Amino acid sequence: MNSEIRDIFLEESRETLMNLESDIVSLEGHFDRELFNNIFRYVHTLKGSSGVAGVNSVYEFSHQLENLMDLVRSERIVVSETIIDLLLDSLDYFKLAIFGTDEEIEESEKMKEGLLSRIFDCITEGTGKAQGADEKRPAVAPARDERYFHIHVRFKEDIYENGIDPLRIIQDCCAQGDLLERAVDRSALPDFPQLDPEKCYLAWDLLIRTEKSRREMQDVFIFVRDDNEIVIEDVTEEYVKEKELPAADVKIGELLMDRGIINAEDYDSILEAQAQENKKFGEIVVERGYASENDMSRALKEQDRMRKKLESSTVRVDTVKLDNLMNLLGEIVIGQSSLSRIAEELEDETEFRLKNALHGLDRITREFQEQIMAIRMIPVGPTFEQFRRFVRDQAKASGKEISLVIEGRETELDKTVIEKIGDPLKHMIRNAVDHGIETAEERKERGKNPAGSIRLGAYHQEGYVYIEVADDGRGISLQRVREKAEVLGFLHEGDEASEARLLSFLFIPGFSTAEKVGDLSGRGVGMDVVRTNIESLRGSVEILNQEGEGTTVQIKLPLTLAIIEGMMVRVGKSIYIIPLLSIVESLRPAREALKTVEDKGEVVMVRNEYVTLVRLYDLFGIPADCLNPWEGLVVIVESGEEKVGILVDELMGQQQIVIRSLDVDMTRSRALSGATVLGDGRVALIIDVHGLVGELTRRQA
Amino acid sequence: MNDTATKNRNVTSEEDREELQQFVTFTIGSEIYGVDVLKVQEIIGITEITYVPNSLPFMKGVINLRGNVVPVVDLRIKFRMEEREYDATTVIIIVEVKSRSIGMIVDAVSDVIDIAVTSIHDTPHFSASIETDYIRNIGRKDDLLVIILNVDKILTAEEMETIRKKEAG
Amino acid sequence: MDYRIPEDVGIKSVREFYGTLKGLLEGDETVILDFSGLMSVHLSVSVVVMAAHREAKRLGKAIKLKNVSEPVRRQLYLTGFNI
Repeated sequence: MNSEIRDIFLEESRETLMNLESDIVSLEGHFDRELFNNIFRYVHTLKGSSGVAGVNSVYEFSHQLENLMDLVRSERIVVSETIIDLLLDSLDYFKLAIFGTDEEIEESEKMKEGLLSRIFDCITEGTGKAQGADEKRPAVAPARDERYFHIHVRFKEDIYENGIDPLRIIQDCCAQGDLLERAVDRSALPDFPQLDPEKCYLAWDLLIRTEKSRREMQDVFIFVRDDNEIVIEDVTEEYVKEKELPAADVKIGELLMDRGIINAEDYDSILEAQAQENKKFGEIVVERGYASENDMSRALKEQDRMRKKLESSTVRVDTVKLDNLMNLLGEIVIGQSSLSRIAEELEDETEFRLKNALHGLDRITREFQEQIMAIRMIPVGPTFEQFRRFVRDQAKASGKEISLVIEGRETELDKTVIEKIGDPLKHMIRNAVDHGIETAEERKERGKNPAGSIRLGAYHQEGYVYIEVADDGRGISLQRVREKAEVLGFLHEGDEASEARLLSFLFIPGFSTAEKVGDLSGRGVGMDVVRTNIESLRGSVEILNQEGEGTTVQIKLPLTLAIIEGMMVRVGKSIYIIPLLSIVESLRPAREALKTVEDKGEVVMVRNEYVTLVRLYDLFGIPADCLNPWEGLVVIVESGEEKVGILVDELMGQQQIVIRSLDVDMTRSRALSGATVLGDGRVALIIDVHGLVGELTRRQA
Repeated sequence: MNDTATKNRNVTSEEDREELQQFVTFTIGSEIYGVDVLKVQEIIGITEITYVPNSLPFMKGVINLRGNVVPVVDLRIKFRMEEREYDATTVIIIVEVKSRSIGMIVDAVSDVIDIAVTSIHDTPHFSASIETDYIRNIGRKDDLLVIILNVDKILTAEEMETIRKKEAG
Repeated sequence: MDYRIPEDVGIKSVREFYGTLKGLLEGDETVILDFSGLMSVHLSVSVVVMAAHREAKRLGKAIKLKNVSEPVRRQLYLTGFNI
């Protein structure tokens, strides 16, 4: 198989399976038609893509599964535990058959046989009872307006090569409603002797009456919408004479009804008023006090968004292309800063004009940057959803009852970040399940709901993305942490230690795993790994603990990985960049503010707090102008709870910095995270504040 | 891609005795070295180098190559030769190593020469040490002796390991 | 003569199927295609049958279908057969 096709297939399947998994698990709670349709679509997707990639086993299986699901969709089979189990097991089969090793694939074949016979059983059993189910079927859904669609389809000649049988798609399409007319255009079909049987020559014109929306009709063609001629026309008007209304207003009205802002009566009366007063629908709604102007504008925005969603087409782009774009933008930023430098040097009236022009350019570049970054941003939802199954399985295995609450699934993160937070999240969730949440009995005793809850949430705040895993379990016992720290020699008996300090021990490699894990009645397994992973994304991890009430692990990540605001600092002839977000303040300390403390080394007193001093020239072994802190400047930076003062010669101003990765092999220093090209063309290294603090702690230890 | 090209040429060379291979040659001290022309991206004059703290001694630092940050290696230090002030003839040869760019600082570039594949010989065993691993072959052109470098081995894993241990200790 | 269409006829074997039909059309006046056992057909297969049907007419011959299952009938209908 063509490896590119295979890669695409793997990538797509991963995505599809993830969605599939979370939807199936959600289905278990309550049957939801929409959800089931999604599942059907995912299976259909899998069928299509496995067909394209030539993974026949998966193709055939998904075909059978689809048949079964079709019967559920047409309500000839009722969804039961058996079917959900079957779906989950099928999911496991898909995973093995698609991503497995050769041996696993072989094993998956056996699984497939078992599953196929279960599918067969479901079908024969289910349809046997079908009549009964049919009778019971009331007109649940309020009769929606039927629409008429004229659908014109002409597939590309080589469509079969994609592994897609166009006939299945035509059938799917017809199954959406009643087929009123079908015309097959055979004009392109050659005479029999000249026929190439592996080409598709036909075109269809179908007229379908359905309750489905145009969107749903479009979904039928989801795998073939590119490169094929597919025109879906809503021709309802030609068949049904209705009161004619401007389309958009009908929609906004429906939207408001959906949200319960107006009811059907209001709706009709507004329409009446509209006919007389010649005002906009929304104006009347606000006038009559049905909704505030805010509500209205929100609804209008939503309408707009929905419309855009409907209209916009998507393009799959290789992320390498996005990276290239980002790199080029980086060069623009660099070019711009060198122009700014030149502007600084000018001393006539052109200076002002140039600066003005540059200011305008700067605004555009920033906007441009935001747009490119927006392309890289994807919602965290799917990543979160995949943990539903995980929590379900883990909870079952440990005999606990746990529900997973997901919040902020629409929060967007850089694609690279999304790819890398999966593992840390898994660690954190496993900790919550294993050590955080108590058993049902224990919870009852404590007067808690016997079912534990884990909340997985994400939100944006002040240029950062926060991701939280919170449980309502027993929390971390600080006393136990303390005991452990004393045993391991991190603390002496009687030493004072703040809660933050105690919790920070959990991040020391092996701290909690050194003895029986359960000892800590909290987390600890792999928290050091979690932190390392998150710090590699320039983020930080914090534990918020409430003994007896639960634990929240909070991850804080920068919005983007490519560009930061940086402060340029000079040490001797070298320029270094300190990320602006890490800087608390900078000051020139008085001579008396400096001290040497036993286990902290050199410190500087800042606002009644001792802050460890780092002499950058010393750490990096480079020459500097100011060897005394009271002559130079101390930049106070913060990493988590820890503050550090960095001694530099002077500040050179702040600037947008395009991060270039430093070859990892080049330096052993954790205090450097990358490099950037300055306006004058020189390369400046970027200081990694987390790494720097880490390096200091290591030295002191 | 470059690798394949080289390989292909080597393959044909077995049939065609007159097959030539092209090398960029440069000097360090009195020696002439060569690198496969296909490995060379470009040659630039000496430019401002930013020192990277805590790196290997022969890692001179990083340079700005049209907006990209590229590490540079001083071959004199790498080859345990006496350091020398950079001057007008000093150049940085940018080579591609495992799809990354690396700059090599050398005394001067001399030429691009063709060497008959038949006159490229295996390295005489200086020693079995890893340090000569970057010397691929010795080529002969007329009476010139060219030491052909294997740029992929300029930075060896072993060396990285050594510095890690040294730093950690 | 009756020709029993292989149950596993599909896109992978359509070329072979096409060849077989070609052969059959060169012979008998009436070719009868037996669809027994087939529960679905790939579009390519039904297109071959359709083109063969037209070709037979042109040659003054006939192609007849028998034992067509309901699902296959529906598929053939959607391909343009009026059956």
